[in-house]
Amino acid sequence: MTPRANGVWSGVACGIAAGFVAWALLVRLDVPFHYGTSDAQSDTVRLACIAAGRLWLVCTFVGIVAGAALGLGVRAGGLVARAPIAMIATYLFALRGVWGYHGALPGGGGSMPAAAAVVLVLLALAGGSAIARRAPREATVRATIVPLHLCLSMIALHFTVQLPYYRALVASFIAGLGDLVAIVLRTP
Amino acid sequence: MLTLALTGVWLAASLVLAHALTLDGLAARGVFAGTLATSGIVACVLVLGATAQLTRPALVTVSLVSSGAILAVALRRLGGRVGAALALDFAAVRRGTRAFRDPAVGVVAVAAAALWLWALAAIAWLPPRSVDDLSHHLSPVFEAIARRRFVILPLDLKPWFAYPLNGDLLALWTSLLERDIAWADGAQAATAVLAALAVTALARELGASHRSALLAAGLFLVMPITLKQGTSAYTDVTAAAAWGAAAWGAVRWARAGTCAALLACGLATGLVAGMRYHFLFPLLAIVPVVLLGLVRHTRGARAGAAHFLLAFALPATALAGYWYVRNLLALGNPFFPFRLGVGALTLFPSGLPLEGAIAQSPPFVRVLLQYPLLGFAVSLRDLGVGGVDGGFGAVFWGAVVPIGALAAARAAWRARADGATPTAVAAALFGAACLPYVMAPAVMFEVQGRYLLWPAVIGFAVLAAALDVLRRDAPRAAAAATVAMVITALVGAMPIAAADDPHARKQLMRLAPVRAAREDDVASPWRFVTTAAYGVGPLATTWDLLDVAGRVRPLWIYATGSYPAGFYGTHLENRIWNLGAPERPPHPDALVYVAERPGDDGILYYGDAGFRRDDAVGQLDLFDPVLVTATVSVFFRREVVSQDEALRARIARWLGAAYPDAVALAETLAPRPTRGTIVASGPLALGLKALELRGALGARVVPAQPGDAARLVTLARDGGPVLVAGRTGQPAQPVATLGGEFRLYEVAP
Repeated sequence: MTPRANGVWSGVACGIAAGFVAWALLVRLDVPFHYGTSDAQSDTVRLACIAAGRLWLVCTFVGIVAGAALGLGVRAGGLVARAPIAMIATYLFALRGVWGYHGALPGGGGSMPAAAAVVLVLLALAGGSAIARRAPREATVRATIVPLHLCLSMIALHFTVQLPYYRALVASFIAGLGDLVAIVLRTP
Repeated sequence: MLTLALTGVWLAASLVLAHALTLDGLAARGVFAGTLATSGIVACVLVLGATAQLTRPALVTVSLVSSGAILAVALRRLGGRVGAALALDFAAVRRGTRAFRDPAVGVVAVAAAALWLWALAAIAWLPPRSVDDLSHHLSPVFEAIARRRFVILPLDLKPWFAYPLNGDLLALWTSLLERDIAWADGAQAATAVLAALAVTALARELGASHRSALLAAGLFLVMPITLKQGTSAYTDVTAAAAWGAAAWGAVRWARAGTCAALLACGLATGLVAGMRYHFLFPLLAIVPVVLLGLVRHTRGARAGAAHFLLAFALPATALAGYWYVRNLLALGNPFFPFRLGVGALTLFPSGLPLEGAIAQSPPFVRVLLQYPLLGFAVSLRDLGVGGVDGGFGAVFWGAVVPIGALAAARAAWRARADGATPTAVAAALFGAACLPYVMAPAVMFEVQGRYLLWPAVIGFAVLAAALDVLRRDAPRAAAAATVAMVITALVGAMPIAAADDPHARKQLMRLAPVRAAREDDVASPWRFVTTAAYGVGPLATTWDLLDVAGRVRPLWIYATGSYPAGFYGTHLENRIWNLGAPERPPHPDALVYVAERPGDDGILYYGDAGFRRDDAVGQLDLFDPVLVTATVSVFFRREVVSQDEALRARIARWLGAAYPDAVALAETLAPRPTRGTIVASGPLALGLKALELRGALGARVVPAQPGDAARLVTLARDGGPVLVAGRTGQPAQPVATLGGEFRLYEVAP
């Protein structure tokens, strides 16, 4: 693979990750993405999902184009190979979903506290540097790195919007496990 | 226990046969054994049901003879190599368990074990409770057990009663052998294991390592839909497992020419073809793969034809053919209720109302092509999450779908250069597996997301192979991706606890009522599902009563409403009178009316509509109202209740257990009327009824819905004075008191 191609692939991968971060910060999470425990109407949910998906498409596309353009100009082999690895940590931004809508109408929540945002950024930086530091010092970007970022971005996209629902179920889940343990142990 | 023992014999015989046929790989032998055992069980039930010999002794005999014959043939073929075969399996298990040392595999395995323990507990303690289970999956199963043969139930109630039943026959297997419906919704839990084995075997076929294959299988098992549907009597997990087995068999046969794989493929194809009509679409994609194997591995047209017919077409036709022939002969359409035709040419007309939404709806793929962003409304919402219709989780939508799609696109792109590699074949089958969902009527897209279990089985296998490629290219990135997938999948299993959803069809998994309950003879498992969705919950009390009463005296019930399966009782002691069994008595023992829809009296009648609620209310001399609530009325034939003291006592005890406050209030009645009739509504009426049935009250009690009270008062006049219950403070002089709040007043003649 030529250095230029390396740079482009690396840029595309980083662009997908950066696109996800932009999406995670821009997406409206004060709307229902699932029925869950809410009484949200079908159309409301559908439109919210389509809007979030469209925004993700736009962010990812812009990220890919910008990343490819930037990648064209980068020649530092080590940076080119390790930046996409480090950028994997940015998918931690999916945790913004913790503060999403979870059933109380009209939609509350959706905005992440500033302190949490700072912690998330620090975590992403630390995680990214840890992953990249131990990564092999290769000059070549493997062809698998772009599909990997695409998959991680899509996993994070779905995880973000489902997190509020999962969070709303935590109490039922723990109670259910408790009942199971009690039954298994035959305690009254 | 009998089910476990007989299933174990089938599995053991099939596993020995896998060795005898020199099938390599533990997962591969597992898929072969699971498929053959499932096929054998289905075939036994099928033969007995079709020949009206469906009894427990016959099923045990036929099952033992068939599995024994397979075992004998396998042992003979294996000769003295039984010990070596066992050693081979143990060695493979030891190698496989080493993969569990991988942290990701270990964590997923522990989580899957815990979550499936929950699922098994729900299966064991809760009755079947999903909408379609109680309406059209289990009703033909229970009626077949009652009549000892397959029956097409009234199609005006559900046109789906004419569907092929291969998947449901596994529920019949457990229900008939145990004479208990408790494990009817457990068959799919067993086939979930077969699906996981298919993921593993297929992943290995695609070159994945043990640990990636096991990780993928574990991720499949902790998907919310696998967990929730695995505890239902639906058939999608079973169908996906059989599809996975067929796909594995086809890929293995095409790659290595293994005849045992071709046989498994044929059996699995027959299983699937006998489950749903629209599953025939993806099965068509199996045929070219089988033919590819024939071209590669057989010499001459005659040998190829013999392989195709004996190992593939014959088993497939034997397992699926009955349902199509039956429908052709009985209904004139092998695909009833669907139309079969091309364009204006109709070979078999539709049995559905042509103006209905389903008949009018275009396939979902057409809508999807028109509005591609609608795909996000399917995936981001994780359609049906927490219920039996969906909930695939972020790993499926974010990794399995794109990896499967990329693999399919790559295979198509490089078809000429690479040819039909196992990965290319699997990718093509992944695409074919999406057909049942995208070809389903668009109006059904919200409830048919479960069909995506099919591509999930293959997609997870492709994902496992892709993960290994990533590990070689970028180990740190692969490790990070694995951690992300495991965390996402485990957090995403949270919907196993989901229950409260006004829209989706949730599968109730709450064990709290079980934990709180005490064992006694006046309650059945139905009492645990009073919060079940889609109108099932309110019926729980009614079914509980009929179940408890049926244990004293099996009842012929005139049933109404959308859910016939709930009336049979947990030990299948009761029968539905209006389904028209030839041996039914002239009159039903009990009449049950369920108000569940607007219009007329809101009651859905089916079968013989001889006893409408209005008529029953007017025949106080023949029928005795026992349980009357806002939505349900249960009348017992007076003759039955009056002549059976044990039944009276049991119903009275049940009322005491189900409505303790009302019975406690009724106990305060003073003085107790010794003759006449008391007409009352609400729980108080049920408390008074308990007193009457117990012999503690001389007057007859007639629980009534408020709208019927005036009519019943008029009708009851022939039986002496008529009393009505009311609150204190009315101008009339009360004849008796009931606590501080209620009084009995005599109605003026």
